[in-house]
Amino acid sequence: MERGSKGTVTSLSSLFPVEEAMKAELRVKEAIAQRTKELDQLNLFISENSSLMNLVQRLPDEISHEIMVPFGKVAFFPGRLIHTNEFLVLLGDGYYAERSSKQTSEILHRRAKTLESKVEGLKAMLLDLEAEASFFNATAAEAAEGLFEIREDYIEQSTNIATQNQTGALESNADPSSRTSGNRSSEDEEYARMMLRLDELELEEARADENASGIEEEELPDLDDETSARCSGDEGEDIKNQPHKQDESIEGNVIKSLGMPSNVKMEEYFPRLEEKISMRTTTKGEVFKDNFSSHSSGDRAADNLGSHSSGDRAANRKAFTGLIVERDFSSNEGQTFSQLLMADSAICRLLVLILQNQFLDSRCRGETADFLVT
Amino acid sequence: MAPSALRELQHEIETQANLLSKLQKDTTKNHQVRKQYTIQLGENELVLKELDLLNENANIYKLIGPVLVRQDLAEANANVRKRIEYISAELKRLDGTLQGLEEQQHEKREAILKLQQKIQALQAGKSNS
Repeated sequence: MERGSKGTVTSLSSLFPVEEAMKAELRVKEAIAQRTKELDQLNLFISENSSLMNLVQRLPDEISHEIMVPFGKVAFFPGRLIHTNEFLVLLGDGYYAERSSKQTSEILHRRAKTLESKVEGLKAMLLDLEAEASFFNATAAEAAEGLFEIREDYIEQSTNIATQNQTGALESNADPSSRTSGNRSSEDEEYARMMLRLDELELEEARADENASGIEEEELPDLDDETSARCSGDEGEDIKNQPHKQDESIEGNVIKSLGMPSNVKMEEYFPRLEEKISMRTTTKGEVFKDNFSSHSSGDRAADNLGSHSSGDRAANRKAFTGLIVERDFSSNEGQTFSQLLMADSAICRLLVLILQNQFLDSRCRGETADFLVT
Repeated sequence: MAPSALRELQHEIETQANLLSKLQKDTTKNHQVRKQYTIQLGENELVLKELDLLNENANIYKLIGPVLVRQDLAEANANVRKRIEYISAELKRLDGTLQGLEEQQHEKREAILKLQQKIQALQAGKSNS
């Protein structure tokens, strides 16, 4: 199973020493305790405030109240509470204002709102701290148990890729092999099939094309197997009219891809794992880039794609593998092409054509093809 | 000669360490004062908000010692605003001082490090010889 595979075995305790993890956990716990105390105090303030508001609202019910007035430290005497609607409210910093009962309760209400917003902030902080604490706890426990992290390089032919015990997801190893799954073999075959199909399609297009200047065909030969997993799972891929990929990030490309006129060049591309694309940049590409960005706002599919691919890309940031085919379409050809595409479900999964009729390009001669988005 | 040089270096380290601890105390004091000022600033801003909501004929009193002194709305507004400005200026000043203190701390730490290295080199040299 591991013929010729290189791998590393690292003990978690070497990465996250047990004592340090525990110390960090203690620190976070102290911070949590402190915040909890503050939270308790704020809650106390809130309850006091509400009881005060009740009192303030009940006092003007009578003209005068019979009460026991405190006298010194240990004595009371009976007395009357008069001017029941006049309150001297402390505004802060030694300033008092004479207010009626209603106005006082308004002031108290505003204070309560500020307190509540503070409580919300504290609660959010507390949640974060607790998440941190639990993470440290888990790491400390795992390190203490002596868990090992096993990492193996991805071998193309091997069907059983060793899974590794990856704990605590802290190691962002750029090694793509660490993220392989067991379906790799079947996806490889599928991928190969798709590539063959695409090659055939390209040949057909090339034959059908008459306009030499507008036709550009480029194909990215570099298709690593690692892309197969991503490609088959990738539902949103744009057919873009962007020949120039070198200077743009993949994410930018994908997100910007949008509708395009039919007789504009089209590219199908898969996100590449390694940026080995040698795309010819053309002046057309520059124009389309601008057009794309201007029309990118409303496209949900592009957003989905963007998020989708960016999520994928987070896993495989360094590489890009894709097939880029540039076409010059009339609407007929577009239909054909899309039909061809539909015929092959595997390709459909890979390629999503997003076109919008409102895409305006001066070179577009007014024709647009309607492509289905799959 | 070597032991006396060693002792000198150790003396120097002690003095530098003392200076460093003094600097750290200053920093903590600065932090505390800053916190106080920040709280006061917040309070004064609250007062300003409430004063804005008062109408002209409301009576405002200021607590000066044990006395509640009647004040004008306009007067109170002006006072509170001035106080806010003053506190903000103080905070800025404290920020500057804090920065200076931190830089000094940094320098002291580096000096101490260098001295320690020298001591280590001396000791290594002594043990070798």
